[in-house]
Amino acid sequence: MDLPTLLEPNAIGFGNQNCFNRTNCDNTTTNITYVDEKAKILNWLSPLQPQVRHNDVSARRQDGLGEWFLQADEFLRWRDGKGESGQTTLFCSGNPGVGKTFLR
Amino acid sequence: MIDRLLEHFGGENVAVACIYCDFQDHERQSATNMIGALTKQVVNALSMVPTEIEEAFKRAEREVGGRGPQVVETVKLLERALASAKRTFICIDALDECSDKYLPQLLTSLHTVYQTSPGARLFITGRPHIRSVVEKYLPGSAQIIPFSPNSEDIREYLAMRLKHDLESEEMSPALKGDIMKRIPEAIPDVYV
Repeated sequence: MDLPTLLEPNAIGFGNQNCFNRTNCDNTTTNITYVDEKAKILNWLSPLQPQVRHNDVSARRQDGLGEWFLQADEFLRWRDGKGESGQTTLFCSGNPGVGKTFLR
Repeated sequence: MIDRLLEHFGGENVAVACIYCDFQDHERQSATNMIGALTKQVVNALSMVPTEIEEAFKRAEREVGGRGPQVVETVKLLERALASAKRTFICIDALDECSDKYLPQLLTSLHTVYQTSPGARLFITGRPHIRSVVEKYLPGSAQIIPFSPNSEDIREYLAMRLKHDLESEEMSPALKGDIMKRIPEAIPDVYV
């Protein structure tokens, strides 16, 4: 470990770049060594950063679009695990540009 | 969708992970990298890195000079990460944009992982033609919902576009009214 105490957590790729779950993201842990190690492990797992695209989608999204979908019984049963046994997957099918990506 | 799930389950040790498949990113979006990216997001939502994942990382660092995990290993690591979270939602956007080379491997791996992870849910978006692929690789587990914007969605979208149109002030209220009335009537499957 190279002088990890000199590093801010965000300077080593930890934080919002790797995470949606803000409750855990923004923990200002005093254990910098652990944070540093965790950031290394996360970077090792994959070079992709889907959160960057997610932040872009969030910024361009219009609230309320496709609300009916998120209130639909099929969606709620899937979310709450009350669907038929084994139906763990929901496939939202539609042509490009209909707003699937931008569901709020 | 992702933000809605997080708001709904906020603070309940629920992990949400996603991949946005992209035609223009085929080279980087290998099955290994995509599964790794899901594992990465689930692990980040956990308060501790699962021991097996930490050990796999240290082993790779020692034995192969920090080489990234291989596909079989990433699947095991994802399983391990899912076992540590109370519930997990994996969202894959635009599955039809996933490279044909990696699509079967991605779905087969997810199918395997989901067999051992009862608390996990998978959400996929894609063009209608990819449905047969979903049903082939995730047999019996997928429910299909066709998505198209309803007339309220279309009106809201048009209102937003009109509001932000640079020439908005040059349009008369009558023209705007006409746009708001005729477009939703004329387009059954509008593009946003």
